[in-house]
Amino acid sequence: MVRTPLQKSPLCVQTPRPTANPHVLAPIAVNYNLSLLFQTLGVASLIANGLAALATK
Amino acid sequence: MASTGYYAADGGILPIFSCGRVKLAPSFLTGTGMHSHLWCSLLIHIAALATNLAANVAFMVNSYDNSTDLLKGWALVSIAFHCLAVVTVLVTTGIFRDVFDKIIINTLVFGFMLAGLMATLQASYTHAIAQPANSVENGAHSTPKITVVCANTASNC
Repeated sequence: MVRTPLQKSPLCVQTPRPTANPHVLAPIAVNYNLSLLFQTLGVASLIANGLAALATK
Repeated sequence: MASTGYYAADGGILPIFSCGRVKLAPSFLTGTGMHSHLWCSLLIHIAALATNLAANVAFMVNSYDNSTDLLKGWALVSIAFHCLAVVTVLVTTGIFRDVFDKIIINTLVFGFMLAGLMATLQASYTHAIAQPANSVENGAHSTPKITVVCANTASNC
């Protein structure tokens, strides 16, 4: 039995890697990670505050 | 009693500067009405917004290749949804007496927050894999596995 290889969907494109100046790529990556950390903390604080407020309602 | 603005339990916005003298209304920003919770939340969101804007703007200013258009799209989505989410939280906390009754608005805000977070995850992931595997940045600020999973889910590929 001959197997045909699966076709890759045209929608399934690889996200390109950033090609910014290599000297600024690293600081940007650090900044992105800091942003992720604070954003996650922000969402967590909203959820925690909301639950605390609802618990005492 | 102020007729507009519901940051304070009895209305008004200025009581947030009363250093704890006037009780605040319960909300997503103030928790049970604590001043410390409000300022802690604000500081976290300001830090998140500042680092997000700095990273995305720095990337877009320094990117010089057309092939990163898709990535610039993620960067724009990250900025747009994050700003929208933070502004909407601040506004809805102020204009609704009981913000917990506004289910649709709250769902929308958390949707904005998650959209911003997912877009930042995608941009962060692609920047992380662009670094050399043994770089200091990847060592000290390594992208966790969950980031990779979420980013791949977000890119639907």
